[in-house]
Amino acid sequence: MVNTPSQEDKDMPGSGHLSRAYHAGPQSEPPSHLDESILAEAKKSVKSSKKGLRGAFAWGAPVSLAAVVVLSVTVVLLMSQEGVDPLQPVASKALRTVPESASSKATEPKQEHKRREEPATFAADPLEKNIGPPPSADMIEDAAAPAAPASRDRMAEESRVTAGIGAQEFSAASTARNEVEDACDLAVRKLAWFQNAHVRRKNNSSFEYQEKTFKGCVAVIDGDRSKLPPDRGAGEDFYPQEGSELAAMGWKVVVDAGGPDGTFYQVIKKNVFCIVDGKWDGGDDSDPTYVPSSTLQITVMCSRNP
Amino acid sequence: MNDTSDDQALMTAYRGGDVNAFEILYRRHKGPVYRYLVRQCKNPAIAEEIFHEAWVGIIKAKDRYEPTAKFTTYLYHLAHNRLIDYYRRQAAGIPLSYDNDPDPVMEKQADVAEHEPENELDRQRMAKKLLGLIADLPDAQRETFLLREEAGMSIEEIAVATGVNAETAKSRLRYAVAKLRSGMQTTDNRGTAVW
Repeated sequence: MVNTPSQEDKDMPGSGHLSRAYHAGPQSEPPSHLDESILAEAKKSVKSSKKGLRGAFAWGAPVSLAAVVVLSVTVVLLMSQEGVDPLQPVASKALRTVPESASSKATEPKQEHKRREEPATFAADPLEKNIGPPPSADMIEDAAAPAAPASRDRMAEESRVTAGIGAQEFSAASTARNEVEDACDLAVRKLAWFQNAHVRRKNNSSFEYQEKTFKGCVAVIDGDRSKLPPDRGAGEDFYPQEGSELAAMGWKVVVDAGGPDGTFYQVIKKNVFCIVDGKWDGGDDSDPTYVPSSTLQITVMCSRNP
Repeated sequence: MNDTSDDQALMTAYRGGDVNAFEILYRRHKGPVYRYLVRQCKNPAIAEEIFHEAWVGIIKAKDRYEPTAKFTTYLYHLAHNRLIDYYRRQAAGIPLSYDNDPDPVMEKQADVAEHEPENELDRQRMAKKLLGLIADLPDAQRETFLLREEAGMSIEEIAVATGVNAETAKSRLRYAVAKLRSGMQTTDNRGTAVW
């Protein structure tokens, strides 16, 4: 792509000459395996869009029907246990007389089913394959609340339960909480302070940093920049400023690389390090027609110091 | 959709499910984007990774694409952001030249007589020398020059793609051009600077 002479060329004498010399050089192209991979990705994306649309209609009716059948069978079984003839027109009474224990039994499988489905929902997006499901509203509130051991444990429990690990397993696992998870808890609590912060987190995940793979906790906080207070940005709340509470706790900054479109820093404390990588659209001062996106994403990754 | 369709129309067609439109778009821009990345980050393996990420980003965002801006601005903005992410992951962080822009007041340039090379061998030799000089430019200036030459972008478009204001982009380009011209100079047998 060769430039045609313009006002800019006139402003920069010699640039046209440079341009001709530049384009006389080698015109390297990407290797064919990259072409194939990208074009395959483009095809796959179109196919999956179509399939997703078709699938929604194709599966909608059978799934609804199956749900009705399961619910009906459950009600009939419960009524039979209570000695009520399900064919008699007293269904509402029968339902009211179902003992509490039986009622909870009837609803438990649905909840378990829901819990197991959630991670798959997130795994569907390749960019989010290492990230767990969204936490409950309680978890987000906990994340923004002041530090309290009970709420931290509950947060961890929520995280594990929604990740598909049972509550019983958690009681044993909770004793094995380590410094990495504590650091991740703290980082999420500090960073997810804003309204409508949406946190996804996985404790046993892995991430790459400086060409090495680390195992640890990864949390992604999504938000809306337009909802932030005018005098406060996001992403800096885990940065141990001099004299801050975090600095007093022993956190230190070792890498700091912010910019208009995000923030990036690495902090360490004894055996643990965390990386905070915030991304947003910084806008463009020179283009009044450009409307920056309001989406905001902060990724926190914590692991043991190598 | 065909080879003469404009970028925005092709991307809109791809959003509607026309894979052929994407293929035309990709083949049209793959070379310039690739050369921009290879020459900017100076590491072909990393450049390939960023190249792949940028195009996959375009593919994933197709459903949200609105033809309000030039496609190339959008594409190179994405590639630039991936590049900045790569710099951030390095121990050295983002190169200083992205923060410390040169003074916008231009240095006075010496008058240089410019001669077109007389044969293909000379052209190749000069192109090779120029690529060496480009590699030595500060990162931010090199990027601005590459975006202009490979993407054919105006100052305003470079500013949008790299997230700076137009004055900064212009200043970076002017410095890049001045350094490259100076580096390309040779002296003829009468002592006149030529290249």
